[in-house]
Amino acid sequence: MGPLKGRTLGSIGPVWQTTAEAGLADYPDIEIAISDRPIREGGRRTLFDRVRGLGRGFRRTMGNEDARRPTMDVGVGVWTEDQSHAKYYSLEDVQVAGDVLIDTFAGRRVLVYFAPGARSLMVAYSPASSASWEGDDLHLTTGHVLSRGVLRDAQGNRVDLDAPLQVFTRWYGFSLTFPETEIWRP
Amino acid sequence: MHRVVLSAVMFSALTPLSVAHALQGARWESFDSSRVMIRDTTFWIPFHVTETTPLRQAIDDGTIGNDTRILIVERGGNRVALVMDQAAYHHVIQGEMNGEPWMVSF
Repeated sequence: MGPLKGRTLGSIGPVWQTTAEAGLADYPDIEIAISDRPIREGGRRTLFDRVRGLGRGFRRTMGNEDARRPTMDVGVGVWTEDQSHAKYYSLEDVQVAGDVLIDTFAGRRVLVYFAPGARSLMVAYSPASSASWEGDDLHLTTGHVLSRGVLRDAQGNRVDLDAPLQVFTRWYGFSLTFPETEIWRP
Repeated sequence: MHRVVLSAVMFSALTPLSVAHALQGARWESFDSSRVMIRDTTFWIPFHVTETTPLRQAIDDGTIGNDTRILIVERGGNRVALVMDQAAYHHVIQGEMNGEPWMVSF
């Protein structure tokens, strides 16, 4: 073992999946790391069409699957820093709920929504008791409006989004990482 | 209901995106080494980040498009964006932010 045995990298914060345009709107000064690999614009569709499940070789590296959701189900998983709480929201269920829902996670109210610009599920802490869409803008009962990933208060001032640790992922990945995760049920 | 571009969504979540925390605690202690695939060579080359470019510049000069899928990683109040398509190839991306090492697997 090396000299760093026993040490860990520690947690990183939320991992957001979004588009370059929406990411820039959220964080105008952010920098991007680009490798020397070609970027396949549209290639993602080809890969999706080609890969609809997991290969046997990959499955051999996995633990026992959690059958509460389909293996390749897509959703957003959240967890607390101490890993005492984890919860999964299926994209399918959030869509049925109207692309937004209010829930409680680890004792705090959360807003779970499908971000149209980012085209992914996101979770944010919010005291709002309900939320509704007006086009692509999400209006909260607190008077806040979430538009293109940017949260503004009733006066139009930008407000930092308070969000739990989260990842937009396949069910198998999240459930294997957090075997005791809760699942949001409609 | 908003339109879902399933291809993008499904691809972006094609593989579990785990972060460093997954190596902590009890799960690390119960790690089953018999499930590890060990080979002499690496098929996918990890990406070690040594430099970054302003996202605005990368869009303006056409290096990436407005619709390019990206990941935004936060650590210690700092953020860096990664190209999701490249993350899907490299599988492991690592670097430092303000002297603090970070690693993302995809």
